[in-house]
Amino acid sequence: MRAALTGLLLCALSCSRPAATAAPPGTVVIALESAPAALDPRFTTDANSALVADLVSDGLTAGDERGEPVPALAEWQHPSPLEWQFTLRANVRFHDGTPLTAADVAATYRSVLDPTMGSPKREAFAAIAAIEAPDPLTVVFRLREVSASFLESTSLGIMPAHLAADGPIAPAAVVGSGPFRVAEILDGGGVELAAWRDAPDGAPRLARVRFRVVPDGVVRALELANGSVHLVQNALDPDLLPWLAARPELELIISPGTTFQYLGLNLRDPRLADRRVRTALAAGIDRNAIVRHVLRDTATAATGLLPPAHWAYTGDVAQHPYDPARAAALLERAGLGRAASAAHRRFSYKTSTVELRRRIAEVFQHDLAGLGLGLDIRSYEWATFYDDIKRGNFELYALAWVGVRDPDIYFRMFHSTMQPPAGVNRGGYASPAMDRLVAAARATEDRAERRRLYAEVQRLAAEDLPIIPLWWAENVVVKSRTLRGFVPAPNGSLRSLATATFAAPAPSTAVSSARGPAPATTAWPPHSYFR
Amino acid sequence: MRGSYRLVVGGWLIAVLIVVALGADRLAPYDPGAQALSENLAPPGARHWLGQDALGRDILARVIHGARVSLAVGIITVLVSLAIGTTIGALAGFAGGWIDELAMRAVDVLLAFPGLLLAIALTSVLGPSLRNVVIALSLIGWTGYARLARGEIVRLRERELVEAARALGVPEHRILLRHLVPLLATPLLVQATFGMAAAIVAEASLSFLGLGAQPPTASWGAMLNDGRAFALVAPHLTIFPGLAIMVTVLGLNCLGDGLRDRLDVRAPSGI
Repeated sequence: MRAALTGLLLCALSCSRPAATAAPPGTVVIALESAPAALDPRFTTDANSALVADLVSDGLTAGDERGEPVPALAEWQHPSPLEWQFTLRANVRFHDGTPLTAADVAATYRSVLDPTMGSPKREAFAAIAAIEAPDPLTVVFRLREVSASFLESTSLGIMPAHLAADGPIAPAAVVGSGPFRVAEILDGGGVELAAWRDAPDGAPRLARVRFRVVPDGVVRALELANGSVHLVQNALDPDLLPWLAARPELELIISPGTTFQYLGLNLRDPRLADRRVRTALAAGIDRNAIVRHVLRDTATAATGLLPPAHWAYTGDVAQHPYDPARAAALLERAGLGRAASAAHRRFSYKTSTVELRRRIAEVFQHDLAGLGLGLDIRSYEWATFYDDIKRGNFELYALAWVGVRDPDIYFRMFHSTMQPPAGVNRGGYASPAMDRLVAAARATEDRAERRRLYAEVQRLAAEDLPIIPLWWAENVVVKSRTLRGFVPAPNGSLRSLATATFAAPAPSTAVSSARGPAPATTAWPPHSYFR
Repeated sequence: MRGSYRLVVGGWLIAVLIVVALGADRLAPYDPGAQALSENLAPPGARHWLGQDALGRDILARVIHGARVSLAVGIITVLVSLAIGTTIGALAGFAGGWIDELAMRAVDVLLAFPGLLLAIALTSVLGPSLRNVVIALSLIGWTGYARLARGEIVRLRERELVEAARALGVPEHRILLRHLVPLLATPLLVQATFGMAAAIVAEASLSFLGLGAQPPTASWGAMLNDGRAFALVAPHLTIFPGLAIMVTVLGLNCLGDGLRDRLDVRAPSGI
């Protein structure tokens, strides 16, 4: 029956697919859950926008698999704590044929710093006092204070000066110097990119990359199966992976990722302001069971924001393993025991409409019901959900940080002055000890000292629980075996498409699920992205 | 005998549904909300006759408890719609003039919108919950009953029995309530049977879209939506709630057809 149903669905998909979506040879088709909202690198704040923009624009620097900066468009020197000097690669051209010069770099950064531009990335460059371009290949940044995270943030995509003067550039008009140029905006919010023949590292061998928006997870899986989509990354239900991996024409690759899923709490709510309640919530949710049975081991229970491969990571923090008895005792002491009124024991939980997220919410609801707590699950379309979270209109919610590189994100997440709109301290957490630590960690360039301070930050965060760490998601890629040379990056970047190619289908072999060491990666914007 | 076959089949199906809904707590083999994550997506078997869903919950228990939701929404929606629709329709038909015009134009305006879209809009505004689904469906559903009641009253008000009552000095309101409204019972009963089927499908549709029953309440529509992601690997998640909806609607439609034929009522117009 299952085979017949699958055959029927595949047949229906083949019959209903309009001819216009058939990809010409040399085009790799990637299915996305939702449309990229922006391709202007100064305005990309969601994961899919960052994913596509990353192929179109290059930054001065990029990040390697451990989040360490490596040269991209420029080499750097750091003659003094308040001065950074970048020497651009020669003969780099934008997609419109104009040469990339220091003037373009300065114009891009100045536009981000311009308050009237409204770039969400402005805060990351707040330390810049002046930008100078003494010659066409040299850019000098002068800072007003030491900024330990400055270098990481220079992976911002560079735009031509004549475009940088304007506000958000429409996706079709975005011009960068990356390996692919924007060729066409597709119906339904998709984007088609074409290989840029003068790319700094040589023209890609793939002629085109087509990003199609396929909102339904089952349809994404079926399209992979019938060959109309070649690659899906982190957008497949874990329960469908065995079905996809069993198909000889497809390859499943699971590799370490940097996506951090967490449970957000509104500390302005007097109940959640009590650390005992937050600890009870952390100990009352069986994260390991979710990871094992719902996520099918495509994630690892997290101890904090930074993944183990990060240079500033420490695992020496308070853990809150599943312990319903301890959770119930903590709730009792905090006045939220079963004797409290039902209304007092009820929380609202906001999540997106993504099926997997709603399912996980039901597990939370079930676990917390065992402690006598009620959970009203409210699932909203992404825009509504995200808007509510940004405005602090929530009690509990779940979100993910994607592509975290710089631990200075802790300042924006946990410093008491960083409540929206200034930062992303959405829960209203305020701790003088945390304020001191995150401020000190961004004010020194001494790596050992930063590591020590961030270890303290992680320890305090694990005890105070301003957010409850859930898990680090691994990168899950299902791709056609004909697509060769694609290497998943920990941060989800698709930059290896620049060197990938199509080949004749390989002879059918045992399906491999590679769980290897973190592969090398290239540029990724400096901020973290939500999904 | 005309319609007897349909009447019997429909009657039995609905009787079984009512028994299942009323005795859900005793009939369900497991707690419909109890999760067993390690057994999720288990196929039908000896312990779980209809298998387990994505969170390891027993599908049979959820289908049984879903019957209660469907039946409750169907009955309450029909009762509220019936009360509003009959009152407005009977008054409009009996009074005539501007009252009739006003009421029927209001009905026309509501009927101009596709019913389900209007329900989606209303539940989006009111917020997702079963109570709001009932409110939305009732706000839309009364129009059919109003039209039917008004048409019947217009047809009946010139009958001799009304003229005789007037000649005897019976007050107008008494003529309407005592002599005319009871005559509406038969066509409205048939209409209500079909209306209940429509309400159950609408509730399933709204719950499928996430606007109806909220977790962990078991609802057939929500179960269909939850199972959709597993159509390729665990089709039993969608087959059984789908069958439940199909059998219930089939039963109600058979019952409605049978009643209509048996009671010699003209085919109702609209929902």
